[in-house]
Amino acid sequence: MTVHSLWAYVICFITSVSSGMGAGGGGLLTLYLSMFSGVSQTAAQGINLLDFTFALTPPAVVNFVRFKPDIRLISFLTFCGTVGCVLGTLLSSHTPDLLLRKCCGVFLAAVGALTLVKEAKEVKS
Amino acid sequence: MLINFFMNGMHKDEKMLAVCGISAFFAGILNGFIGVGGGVLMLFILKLIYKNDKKAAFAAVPAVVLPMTVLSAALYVIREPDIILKALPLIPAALFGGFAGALLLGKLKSRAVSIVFAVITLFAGIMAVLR
Repeated sequence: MTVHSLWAYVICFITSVSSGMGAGGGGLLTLYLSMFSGVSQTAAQGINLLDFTFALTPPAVVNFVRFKPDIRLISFLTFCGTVGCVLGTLLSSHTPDLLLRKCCGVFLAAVGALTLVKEAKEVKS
Repeated sequence: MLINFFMNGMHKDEKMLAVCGISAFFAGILNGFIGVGGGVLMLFILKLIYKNDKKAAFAAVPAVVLPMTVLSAALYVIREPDIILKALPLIPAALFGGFAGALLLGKLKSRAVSIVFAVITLFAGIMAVLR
């Protein structure tokens, strides 16, 4: 992250704004770092996760105060999610970097395509 | 017993809750495996739960995804401690961006933002696969 650090900063800010709004885009920083900044896919994923810890804190607090979601429901989903997290992280440590990047790419492309289809349907109806 | 504690007196539709729990588990796997995607799946799950209240679903996502992200990040740092130094310069951007996003929720047309990001995400995803 030397030549591209300004771009990384801009992408991080924009994706943090969109994620805070719930509009997605969180994976873009990972792909930028792994494809253009010479960072390994695993490190890019770790950097993305670490930065999004900070990006998600303000919306989590603000929205929790504003909308007061069901704490039991949130706790239940969080519990299930964190168990999966441990498994996913262990799985990633045994997966080659290139395969991880391809998986990330396939997932992001699928999410992008599905979002476009869904929005097109909603506009039509 | 643990599941009973969480589910007790919460929602009548236990089947849907079980499905949501399993989906949250897979969202966690995705979050840990490729470092992204947990939020997308959680939004889908929470939209099912909150039905017509889209804003409530959007608002609950960070609360569920944040602990998952913290845990995944911690596990990645244990594996590769030097990512802390690489992530450090980006933290102010992430913090201010997240705060701006939280304030903009419901004020900006999220459909337009969603479409723009869907196009960029699709393009970036294809690039990552082909490169």
